[in-house]
Amino acid sequence: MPLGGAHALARHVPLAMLAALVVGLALGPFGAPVATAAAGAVAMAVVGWMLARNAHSRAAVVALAVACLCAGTAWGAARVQATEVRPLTRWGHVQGTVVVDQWPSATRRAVRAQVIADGLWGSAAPAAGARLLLDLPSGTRPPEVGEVIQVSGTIGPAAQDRAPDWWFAWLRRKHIAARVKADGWTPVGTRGGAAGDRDALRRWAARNVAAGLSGDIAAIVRGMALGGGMGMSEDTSQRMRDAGLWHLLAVSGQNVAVVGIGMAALLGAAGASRRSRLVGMGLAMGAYCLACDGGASVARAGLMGGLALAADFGGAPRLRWHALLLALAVLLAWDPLSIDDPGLQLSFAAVCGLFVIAPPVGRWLRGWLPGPVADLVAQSTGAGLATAPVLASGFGNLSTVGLLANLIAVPVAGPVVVIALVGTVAHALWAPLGVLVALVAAIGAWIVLLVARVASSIPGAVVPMPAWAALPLSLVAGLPPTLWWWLRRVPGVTSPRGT
Amino acid sequence: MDGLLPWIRRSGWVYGLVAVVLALVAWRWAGESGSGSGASAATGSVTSQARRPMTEAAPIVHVIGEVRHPGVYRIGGDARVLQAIRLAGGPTRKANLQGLNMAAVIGDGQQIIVPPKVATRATAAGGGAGGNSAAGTSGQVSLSSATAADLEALDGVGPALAQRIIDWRTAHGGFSSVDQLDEVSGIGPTRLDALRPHLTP
Repeated sequence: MPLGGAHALARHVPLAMLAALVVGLALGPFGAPVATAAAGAVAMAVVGWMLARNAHSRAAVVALAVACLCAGTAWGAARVQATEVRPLTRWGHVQGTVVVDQWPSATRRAVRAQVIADGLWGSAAPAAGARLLLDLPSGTRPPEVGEVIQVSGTIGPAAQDRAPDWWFAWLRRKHIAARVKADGWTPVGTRGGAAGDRDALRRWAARNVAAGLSGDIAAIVRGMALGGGMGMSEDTSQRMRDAGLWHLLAVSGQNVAVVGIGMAALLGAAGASRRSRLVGMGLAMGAYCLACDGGASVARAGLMGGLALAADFGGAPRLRWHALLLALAVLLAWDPLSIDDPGLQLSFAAVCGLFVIAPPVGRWLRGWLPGPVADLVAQSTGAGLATAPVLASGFGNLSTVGLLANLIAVPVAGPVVVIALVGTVAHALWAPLGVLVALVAAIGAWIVLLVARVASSIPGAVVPMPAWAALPLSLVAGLPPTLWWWLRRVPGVTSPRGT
Repeated sequence: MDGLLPWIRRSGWVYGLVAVVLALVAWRWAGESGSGSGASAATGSVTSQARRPMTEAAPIVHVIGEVRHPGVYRIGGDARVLQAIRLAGGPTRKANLQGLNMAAVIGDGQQIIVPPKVATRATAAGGGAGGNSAAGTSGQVSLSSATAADLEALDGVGPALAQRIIDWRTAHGGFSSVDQLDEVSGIGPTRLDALRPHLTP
């Protein structure tokens, strides 16, 4: 192999190592024996070292990759063993205090919150720290995140035997041990410590981001700025999903970038040095991520943003694939079960689509469309194609109007995020100003809501998909980059417009 | 020598080292959780009890209320509430032991509350032996021992429904909670709510 080719190969070796680690971590939850995997990792690392000493570089790289894979498997399996919760199987009565860990959701049937047992006692009472579902009667005022509340009610399995598989999978992923049904709740206080500080930040952000707004408009503004569908009606939630617009309610890299750039601009105006600006950006981005809903999407965006800033700080180049794989490795190392999380799958699939599918589609479209429009269509197409297999396998349906709806909604969503975040800060400084800014954001949210309602009303907006459709959809998603690669390699063949 | 060798010598050892460290930490971690000392806070007692039979380690209980020496005690496996109360110095004169099931088996991490005599019925029912026993308050029908006639005496329960309740009890080995009535055919949430005040497990 020519030296240049080998150097190019060497550039990809770290990616292969990270990919092997990620695959290993993803295999962890499938019951791999920890001791065997760990022994394999150590053995292969030793083999790799010996091969490298004898100048067998390729074999050494393979051995190291296998060592990473085995190490990831061992770690993933050990982590699952240590954190997995055995669900409660009997019924009983409990009373005492719990901590509300996530913003509750309200449906027609119940107000539901994920809580952590604080001081529960009674038959079948779990120990402090156990994660539970708390169901309150419909119409009950939902408690706020971080509140310590007193409840009294029945405790039992969170899933009946006849519950669907996805519900069991969700409970396992969320480490939920049981469900408590209570008739009401009484506030006792708020959580303390670092988690309490984060709760206070979340409550502050949620209160200020949509100040003066209510209903679905407030929920959309809040969701676009902080993630999640808190406070959104079931009908609107379904319409957002059917229109392929639900992703607008997940915190993306764009949100994190807006916060970082905003802070950099402020510090730049104040005459701060480059390093001070980077530190300020990092702090602002970190605080923003902590204030958000805590889903896989914001974790990915925050980690990738942090890695990019670290690269800038150290004067190293930004390597987007490295950042993506490293972020995935960190998330899976923390919770290997999250590999089964559709939110995580959609988030990473969308980014892959933006990296791989959007560029060739964009180049091709630029022959026909103005640059910004071509880029917008390309990004929507890339993310849409890449997430289609996940939607088919995880949710059993696909939105056929998603591309069109996104073409209208995405250009609106960007400004809404910026305005809503500015409004959050403005409300903290002077409440009437915050309300005024939130009203401007509401105009954008109203447009998004209108698009969702119109698009989801079109006949055939959602097509049911069997799980096996994920395979052909993956092949379709791989078509644009493959074609582009082929057009570049075959002499004399160019794209339709010669781009 | 090819182009990969410089990379291996410059950076490859880092990946090897990371793999070895990860593997060894995971190995040690799994060993600890396997021996029962590595349960994380998030798993709670539900998990730790499921993984560790009570006989493996002596359960720790918290005895409070009307006992001479309230506190946290380590107690032998398969111990009963009676033994826990004895460990805590025995009940005081004010203790109301009628609401306690002294024969109930103790689980690890359980709190046993010995209520005072002046306690209301509701307090005694909630606090008894960490909830291991129902209070057995008068006027309530015990699902575990009621006859068909006892059940028929309840409003809204006819002979057929009473028989279905007894059939369910026979098939499932008894009721551990009144809420399990929800699983008996013919009993919906409304009827369950109406019956609940008159029943104990």
